[in-house]
Amino acid sequence: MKALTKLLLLIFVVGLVLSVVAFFGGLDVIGLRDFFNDAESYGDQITYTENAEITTINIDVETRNINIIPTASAELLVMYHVHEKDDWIVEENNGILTIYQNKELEVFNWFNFKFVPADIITVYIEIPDAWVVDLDINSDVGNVTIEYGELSMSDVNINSATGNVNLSDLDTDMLNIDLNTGNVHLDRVNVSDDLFVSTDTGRVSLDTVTALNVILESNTGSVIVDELTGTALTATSDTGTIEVKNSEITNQVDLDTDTGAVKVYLTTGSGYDLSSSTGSVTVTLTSLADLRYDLQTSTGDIDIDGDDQGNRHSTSTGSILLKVRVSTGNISIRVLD
Amino acid sequence: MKTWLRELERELKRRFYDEEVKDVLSYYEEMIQERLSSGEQLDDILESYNIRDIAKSITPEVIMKRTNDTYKKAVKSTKQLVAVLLSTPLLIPLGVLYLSLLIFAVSMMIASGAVILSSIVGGIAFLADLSQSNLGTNEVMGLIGMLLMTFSLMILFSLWMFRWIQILTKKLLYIFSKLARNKGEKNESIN
Repeated sequence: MKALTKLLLLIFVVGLVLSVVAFFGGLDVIGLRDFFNDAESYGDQITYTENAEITTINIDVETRNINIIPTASAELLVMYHVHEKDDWIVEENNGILTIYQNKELEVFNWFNFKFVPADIITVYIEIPDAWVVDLDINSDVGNVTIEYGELSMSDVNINSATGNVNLSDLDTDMLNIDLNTGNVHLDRVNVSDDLFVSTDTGRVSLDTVTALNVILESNTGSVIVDELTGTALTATSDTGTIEVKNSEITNQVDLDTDTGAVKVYLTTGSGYDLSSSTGSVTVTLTSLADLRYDLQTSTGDIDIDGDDQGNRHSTSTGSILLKVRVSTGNISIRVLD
Repeated sequence: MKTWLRELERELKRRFYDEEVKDVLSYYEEMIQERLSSGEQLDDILESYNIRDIAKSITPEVIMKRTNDTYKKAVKSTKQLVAVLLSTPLLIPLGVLYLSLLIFAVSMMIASGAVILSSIVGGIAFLADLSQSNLGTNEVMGLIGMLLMTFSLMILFSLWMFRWIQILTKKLLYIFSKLARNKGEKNESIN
């Protein structure tokens, strides 16, 4: 062991000497950077142009980011780079545009020291902002982004194994997002029908979103909602905080987490069903006048606007039922000053 | 008495090394002699002992005294301790805790081994990649230098971690043997 340690220390010193000699000998840092850059395995950018109006875009990619950008132009553009071991199909048929990318399995590629710049592995799709299309995205690894302008779509379905989804300034009839690992962020999104977002591991955040029934699920990750306008809201998380603020929900607000806090701040609803196994529940409203309480905590205290109510509290009057169940944690109901 | 001692020796030899067997035998021989000299009947004395129980209850004490300086000895001691802990109802919680810590230790050892192996294979793959590049002498020298530094640090760290886990495992063996022995003695004194 001692001999091996000495040998390894000797190798370290030799490495250090070589590095220092190379550095003072005029080591070209840019040359080194190029060595680690795998961009040359990808060809030049290919641009596919489509003038005929597209009604549906089906995207099925294995290792690419998807970036959808509205354009004032009348033609659709798809810009991408092909890797030497990729299979690609980009074609239009009866108003359906198919974008398919499959990477050949490399059995002996366990050690890859090279990186690829993000813009090389991103498929940029410019869609005329006057078009209304169905969008169906299946992705194994990669982020999906729709931003930089306003875009109208009929149905949007996004399925991804690993990658984040960022959508902004989007109008659509329906929106379904289902991820295994990745965060979802929706900003200024208007859904005329239902909105469904699910991720196994990742955070779900909504900012200024309109929809009918809204279902948000995260197994491991927080659900954060700000300025949501909807008919009903159901948010669940196994491990993570659920926070809903400044929102207007016409019907029921159901929020359920196993481990994490539940926070409702200035959010209207016809009823609230809030639960947490381990974590506190905090509700802050402008008025408590119409509330009918059904509050229970196994280990914790109930506080209503500064008054301690023990660990069970219920009332029989009030049109809006506030039902809260907590196993370990406090329940706090507050009026905004 | 000789027959009983031979039976005890046979049972002990299935579990312990010769020196350990000798120690235990001489202890019981001495104890029986003492009880005989204080007026007890031999049959009564021998009836009060159960050979299997003796072998089982003495195991933690023997493991504690064992040097456990070779891989074979350490594995044998660990197996024996786990068997004693998990086969004695009073010691099962201790056994579960010991087993959990053992799993952690073994996982860390496997991780260290994996780091060493991947450092070697990764280093070779990197050199192969480097040999096909068009880099200048200084760049190649610089990259080989950085590779050697990273390689040696990774392996040194993994070897130290491996050694540290070995020491920890040995300590755990001693601590849990001691706990098992103390609990066993406490239980005997209550009974």
